[in-house]
Amino acid sequence: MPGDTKVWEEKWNALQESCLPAVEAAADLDSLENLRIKFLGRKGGLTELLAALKDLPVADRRRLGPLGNDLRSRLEALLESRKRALFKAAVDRDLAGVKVDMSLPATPHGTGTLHPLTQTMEELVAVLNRLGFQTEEGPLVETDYYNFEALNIPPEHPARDMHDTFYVGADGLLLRTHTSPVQIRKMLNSAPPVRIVVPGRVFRHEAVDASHSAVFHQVEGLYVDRDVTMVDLKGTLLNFARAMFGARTQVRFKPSYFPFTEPSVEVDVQCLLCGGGGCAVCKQSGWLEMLGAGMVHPNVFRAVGYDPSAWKGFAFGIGVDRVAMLRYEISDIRLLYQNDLRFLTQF
Amino acid sequence: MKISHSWLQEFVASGLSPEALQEKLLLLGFEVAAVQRVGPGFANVVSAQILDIRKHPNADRLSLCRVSDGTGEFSVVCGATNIQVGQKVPLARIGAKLPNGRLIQDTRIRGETSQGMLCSAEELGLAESDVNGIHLLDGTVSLGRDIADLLNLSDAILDVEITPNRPDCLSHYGLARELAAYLGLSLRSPWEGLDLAEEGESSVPVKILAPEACPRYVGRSLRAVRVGPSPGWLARRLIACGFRPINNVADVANYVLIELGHPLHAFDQDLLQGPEIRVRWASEGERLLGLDGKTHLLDGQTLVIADAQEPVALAGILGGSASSVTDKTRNVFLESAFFQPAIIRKAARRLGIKTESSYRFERGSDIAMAELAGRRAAELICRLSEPPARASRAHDEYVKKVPPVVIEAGEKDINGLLGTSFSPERIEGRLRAICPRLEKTPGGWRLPVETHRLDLTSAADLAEEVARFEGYQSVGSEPRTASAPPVTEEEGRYAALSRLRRHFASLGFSEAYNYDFVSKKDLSDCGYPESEIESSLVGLLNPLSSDWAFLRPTLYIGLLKNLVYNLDHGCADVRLFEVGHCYEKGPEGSERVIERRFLAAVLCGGYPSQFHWQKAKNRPLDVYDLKGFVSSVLPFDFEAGAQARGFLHPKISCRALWKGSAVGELGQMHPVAAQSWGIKMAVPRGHGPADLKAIWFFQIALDELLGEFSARRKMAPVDDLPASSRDLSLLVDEALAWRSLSDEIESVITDPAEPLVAAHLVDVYSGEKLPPQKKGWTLRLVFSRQDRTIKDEEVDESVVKILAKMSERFGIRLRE
Repeated sequence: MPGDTKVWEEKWNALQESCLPAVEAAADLDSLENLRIKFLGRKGGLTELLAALKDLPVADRRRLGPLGNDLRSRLEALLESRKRALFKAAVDRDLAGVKVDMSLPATPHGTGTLHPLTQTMEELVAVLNRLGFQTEEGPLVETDYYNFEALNIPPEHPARDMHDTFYVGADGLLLRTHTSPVQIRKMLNSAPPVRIVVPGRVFRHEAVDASHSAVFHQVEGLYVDRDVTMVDLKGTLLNFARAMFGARTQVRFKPSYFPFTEPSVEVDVQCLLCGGGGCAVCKQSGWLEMLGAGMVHPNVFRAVGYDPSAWKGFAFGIGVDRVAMLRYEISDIRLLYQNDLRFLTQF
Repeated sequence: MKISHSWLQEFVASGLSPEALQEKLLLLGFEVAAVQRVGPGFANVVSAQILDIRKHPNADRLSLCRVSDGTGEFSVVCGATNIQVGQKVPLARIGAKLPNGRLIQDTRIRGETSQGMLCSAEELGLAESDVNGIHLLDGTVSLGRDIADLLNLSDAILDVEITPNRPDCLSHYGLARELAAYLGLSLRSPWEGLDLAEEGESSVPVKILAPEACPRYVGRSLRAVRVGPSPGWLARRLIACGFRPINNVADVANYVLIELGHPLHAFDQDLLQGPEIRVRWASEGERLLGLDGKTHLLDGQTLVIADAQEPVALAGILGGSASSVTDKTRNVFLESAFFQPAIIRKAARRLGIKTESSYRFERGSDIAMAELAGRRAAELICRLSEPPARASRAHDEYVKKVPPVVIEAGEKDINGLLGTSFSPERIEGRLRAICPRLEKTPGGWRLPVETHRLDLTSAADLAEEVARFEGYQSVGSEPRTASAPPVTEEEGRYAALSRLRRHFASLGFSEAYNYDFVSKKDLSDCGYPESEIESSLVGLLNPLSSDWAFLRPTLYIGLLKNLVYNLDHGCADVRLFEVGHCYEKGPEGSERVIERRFLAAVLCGGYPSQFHWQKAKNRPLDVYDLKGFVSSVLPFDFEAGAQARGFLHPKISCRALWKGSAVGELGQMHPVAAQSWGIKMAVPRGHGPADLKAIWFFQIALDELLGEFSARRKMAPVDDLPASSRDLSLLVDEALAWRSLSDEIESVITDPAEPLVAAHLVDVYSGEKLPPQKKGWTLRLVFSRQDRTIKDEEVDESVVKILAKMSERFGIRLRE
């Protein structure tokens, strides 16, 4: 039975006039949802009207169909935009009541620190790694041979006075007084060329005070190759000093004495604190003693079975504690071993 | 070594100021620690002449002198008896200040005006006593001259650090010789002006019975010596250089020591048995009372100077008291010898004696200097004796002549090592300055080394000499491009260690550095039994103190002390870690020490903080936090109970295993151990932790693990299909360990046929609502299929299977 076009049109007119204003007027999300069901639900007014179209005569259906669909699109769009607006209004209302004090203390995560000696040592090593030196380590309990004899310091050599030593056993076992025994171990284990950096802990048998510690740390470098000269030594140490202490750092090379190097060099850098003008730390000299160095002594090469006429090399060492003290302006070396968290957490 | 600037100038007239000299010495490798100006210590003291002497009317022992300083006349009261009219003397004028602080004023002494004071050597600080009365000036001096200028009393003392390789520079002459060679100046020879009249032979025969230790001994008798105080000029120089004047004989020995660098010894010849000198090894058990006032027990490795009966001196180290020169001495026997350095050093160290003499002999003295030094000392002693003493001829026992060291070197040896391009002529000039007997050879030069240059043995040593004299700044600093030696495996280990440290720092641990030394008490407080300490731990033979007698076998001791320190200083949340070596003796019979690297940590307080304002964030640390910290390094297995000698809690502790072997441990500190360390700590209850004061430790052995950190991982495919999960509330026997169930579940997860992919323990419950001896666990099981979306029926089926298995294995059932 064909539907009554007139009745359809009356219902359509009533709906068309009322639905959009009703949606427009909805005050909250709930009433908006009710309106959606009322008009667009399965039994909603517009849904039913659109369904009733199929019963109308074909000509009317063609005329009225687009009108119905158009109204549905407009209604859906309005519902969506009203929904967004009402949702935002509802959230705004909720947020107005939120009270958070952003100034309350944070939860302390990851507040640990690396020891200033670790930071300094790793940086020294990193600079030398970049210069092509490979990291090597060795034992802290050493033999007299590695610590002294192979380094051209035979028994009763007066240079032993510079190395007050802790002894741990009758067989000449001792706590290494410098990182240099690792030079010997490395050279005995591998053929030249050798280019290593050795970080580590060393020991001296001396009373502990503000500037002396029985335990301290060194970073040492060794480079052995054909035709290495003192020019390479100076250039490397100049690079090293500038990488560590700044590109404009002035460096001074002085003759010195170490049994395992010849010539021996002592390297001063311009005082890090006063910049060379003279202060209490540099004893008014403007310079700080920083590195001991030199060309590897032929007797050291002989001890490890390298031919001193074919191979040349240089070695150098730097005191990590001293560098750390200068960089962080630490006045007393004992602070480095006291492990007071108020100190450690500053770095 | 203290060097007098004016004395040095006498040998090499450099004309350099003390500061300029300091700079030059630094460039040569001799650090000058300090330059000290020494003034005369007095002012306004001038030369004056005695015009008239009268007796003081009111005092028998005083006289009234009229003196002139050339511009005025003064009346001065004087107590000395050595004055005569016409003498020239030092006059302290009114307003003068003397070294002892005394201010000279216009005064009256026993009623007579005194307008100044005539000074003795002692009053001017020129001598230690005034037995000679007023210090008499040379009759030719003009009047009114400042005494300080007149006697050349202003000087600068340089404290020069001489490196152990340069004993030849341990004297004024030696340092002057170095400077002269460097500056190209002439050097005054110590032979110059040395005029010793010798008569007769030495009265003391010398027998060298240990030529391997003493290749040369020069002896000389000095007869009719009058022992007394040294003159002011000599005493002043000794004092300036840090020596205490004793008498003219001992002082001359010291004077020659700092002048020429060669140690000497003077005996009272009449107290030598025989008289005879034997240079020999001591017999075991012989004793000698030394000049240091101590009796030294000698052994067969001590070289002594003995007379016919017994030791009279420790050779090269210390004289004996019995034969020493005193005021009564009439005849002196003067020794100037050479001793082998190692022998002197060994004996001096064993006896614990360090003297100026041993210091020089153990570094190496100049065997050629022995004769000259003896002659110079004999000359001075004879001259300073009043009336002059008489010297015998020297008895020079030179038993073992050592051939000179000869170095062959060429231009390449020098420039090749230094990287320089000095011309051969330039190098030759530098070498000739230190080696005058240099000869040219086809390949370069042949250099017979002077006997005082013990440091020169190879071409490398000569390269250093050239570089020093040219200046290290003349060596370039543009390195060539160097070859790169192969990368080593150790690199990875150091980098891994660095990552590990950063890992713990970011977990909130601060890094500690402790000494490697611990005390016996520390060890026994950590549960090490006495027998184990002695048998397997490493003791120091020469500890700095008994607190530091052993090398640590664990990092716990240091960390525990750090904890106590920090708690005592008001820090409540402590999280410290340390990476360090620990030591134990090697297997029985071997002297080896086994050294292993550990990472350890101590924790106490709340997590993450005791003081956090959110309750959930100021909870106490517990053992599962520790498992978490340790597991974050590597996915260890854990086994209950640590083997920590009672240091850790027996129940709240476990071992960490890696590939089946124990590599670490963690747990709460045992309450009893905590008590013995004086830490007040509540006794924890039953399971788990409840106390903010509980102390936690863990320690991991790193040597085996460092490689694992850098082990390369392989990717496993990531499953992105939807998963579904089920929560099961289980009723479990109280004794069942989670590990048993989790192993079982793990076997289901790893079975590819089963859809179970993960299981989480989301609740652990115990309480009254449960039947006795039961506990409640809630598991969240996650299911998924690799190739498709999983169906509900599959999940249900799997849950039933899992429940059946749990029931069968452990009697687990679902809670109602």
